[in-house]
Amino acid sequence: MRYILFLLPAFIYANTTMCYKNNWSDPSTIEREKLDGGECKGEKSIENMKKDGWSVDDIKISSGKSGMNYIYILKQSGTSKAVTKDLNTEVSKSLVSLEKNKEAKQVEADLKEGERFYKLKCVTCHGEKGELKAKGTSRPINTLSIEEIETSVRGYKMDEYNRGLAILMKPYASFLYDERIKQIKLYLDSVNK
Amino acid sequence: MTKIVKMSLAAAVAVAGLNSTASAANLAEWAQNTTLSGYVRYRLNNDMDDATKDGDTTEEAKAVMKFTTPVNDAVTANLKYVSEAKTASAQKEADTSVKEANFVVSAAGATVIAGLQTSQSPFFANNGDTRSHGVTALIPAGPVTIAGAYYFTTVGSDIKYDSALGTGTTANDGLLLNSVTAFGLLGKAGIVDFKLWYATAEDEADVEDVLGAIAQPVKNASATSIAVTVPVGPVAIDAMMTELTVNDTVAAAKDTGITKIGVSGSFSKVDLSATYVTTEKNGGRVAIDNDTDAVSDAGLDKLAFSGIADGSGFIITAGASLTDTISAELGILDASSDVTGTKDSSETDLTVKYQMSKNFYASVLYATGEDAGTDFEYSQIEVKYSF
Repeated sequence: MRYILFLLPAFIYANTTMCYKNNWSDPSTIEREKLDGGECKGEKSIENMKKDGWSVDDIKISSGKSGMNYIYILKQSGTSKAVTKDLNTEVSKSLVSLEKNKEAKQVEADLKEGERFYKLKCVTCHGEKGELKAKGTSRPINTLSIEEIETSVRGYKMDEYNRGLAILMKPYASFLYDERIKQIKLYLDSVNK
Repeated sequence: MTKIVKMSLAAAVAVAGLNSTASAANLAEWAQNTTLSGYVRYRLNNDMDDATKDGDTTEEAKAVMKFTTPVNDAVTANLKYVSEAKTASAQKEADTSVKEANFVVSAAGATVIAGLQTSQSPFFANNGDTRSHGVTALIPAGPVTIAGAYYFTTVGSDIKYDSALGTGTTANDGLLLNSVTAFGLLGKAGIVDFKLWYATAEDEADVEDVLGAIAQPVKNASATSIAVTVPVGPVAIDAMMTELTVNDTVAAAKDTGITKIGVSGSFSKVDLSATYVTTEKNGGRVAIDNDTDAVSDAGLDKLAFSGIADGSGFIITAGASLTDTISAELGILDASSDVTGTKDSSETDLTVKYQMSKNFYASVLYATGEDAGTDFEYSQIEVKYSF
C-alpha cells in the first residue's frame, strides 16, 4: 500500500485523485462505501465524489485476501488526457508492485507455517534443521529434494516405503500434502543456508 | 500426490449427485483440503513348471486410491479404496473394497490410529494387504517408542487358519481373525537399532461356517520377534528371530520359527545384500496372516523360507542403475531342508526396470529355479503409474 500512498501527491497536483478499498466482498455496495486514500480520505464514497464534481476515469479491480481490491481513478473536468495516460501507467506499475508485495507476503506466510508445523510435528525425530537420521533409519531430510520427500510421503501413505520404522512415520505422512511439504522445505532451506 | 483444488461447486454437485448447494459446498471444502494418492498397476504373469509344461498366463489389474484429509493439526481422516481383478483367482471381475477408513490423532508426540487400518507388527503383511478393525497407539518414551495395538477383527486375502501349523493350503479370502493384540518396543541403544514385538491371536470367527472340519485355526497363538540393526563401517548387519507358539489343543498344532542374519551395503553404486536364513523343524511360517510379504519372512518372488521346514540357506541380491532410467536387480536363493526326502530349492530372479518418469515405470521379471525338485520358470511384465 505504501506504493499507492507514494503516488498520491502527484495525482492531487494533476486535479486527479485515486481512491481505493481493499478486501471488499460485496460489489453491489462498493459505490456507497467510503473509500480510502486521495480526496476520499476515508470519508467519501464514489457517490459522494460524483456529487462534488468528480467523475470516474478508470477502475482497477484485483483479488485480495478476503475480497476484491478496488482502485478508482477520479478526475475533475479539465484534466488533460496526457495526465490521465500517465496516471494509468503509474497505476499499472503500482499494481505490479502490489503483486510482488503479495507474493513476498505469501512466501513469508508459507515460511512461518512451515516453521510452525515442522516444530509441532517433525523436530523431535528429524532435528532442529532436519539433520538427523530419524530413529536411526531415515535419511537427513535437509538433504532431500521436494520430489524425494513427496515420493517418500506417498510411499508411506500407500504402504510401499519402509526403511525399517515406517510404522512410526506413516501416521505423520497423513498430515503432509504437497503445499505443506513445500512450506516445510522452505523452512528447512532457510535454516540451512 | 494430488491436491484436489480444482473441483468447482457445480462439479462437486455433479460428482456427489447432491441436490443442494449447501451439501456441495461442504464437499468442495473437503476436496480443497484432501490429498489423493494411489496407483494403477497392470501385471501379465506367465507360470510354467515341470508338471504343466505349458505356460499358464494370468493377468492382474489393480487400482488404489487413498484420500487423506487433515481435519486440523491433530487429526486426519483416511479413506483407501482398492479395486483388483486377478484372472488366476475367483476374483476375475474387478472387486472394489474399502481397505482403510480411519482417523489418525497426533498430540504431544503420541499417535493413535483408530478404525479400519493396515495391520501392524512383523506378523502381518507389510504391504497393506491385511487390515484390522481396531486401535494402534504409538507412544514415545525417551529413546524408544512403545507400540500397542488391539484389533477386534483382522481380514486378509491370504489368511489361512491352518497355515501357521504348516498343515493347510486353502486360501480363504476375507476370513477373520479375532482379538489380535500386539505390543512393540522400537528404539535405539547406542548404535544398535532394535525392534521387539509380541502378539497374540486369541480366537477365530466363523471358521466352522467357512471351512468346516478341515479348519485348524490359529487360535491361542502367540508370536515374538526380535530384530536388530548394527551399522559397521559402510555396511549394516541385520538380524531377526521370530517364533510362533500355538497353545491350542489341536493335535496338529506345531510351533514354528525363522531366523535370519544379513549384511547389506552399497559399493560402487551397486546395492548388495546377503542373508543367511534358518527355519525350525515345523517350518518358518510365522506370519499370522500367512503373507510372504510379512517382515518376518525371507524369500524372492516365487520361493520363501517360510514354506521350508527345518531348512537353511541364503538369499543374495544385487541391484544397480544402468542408466538414468534403467535399473536391474539380480536375486539368488538357495535352500535345503533336513526333512528326510525333501529336495533342495533354488531360485534366480532378474528384474529390469525402465523408469520412464518419476511416476511411471515398466519392468520385466524373469525367474527360474527348482521348488523341492520341481523345475519352474516364471515371468512377469508390470506397468505402474503412481499419483
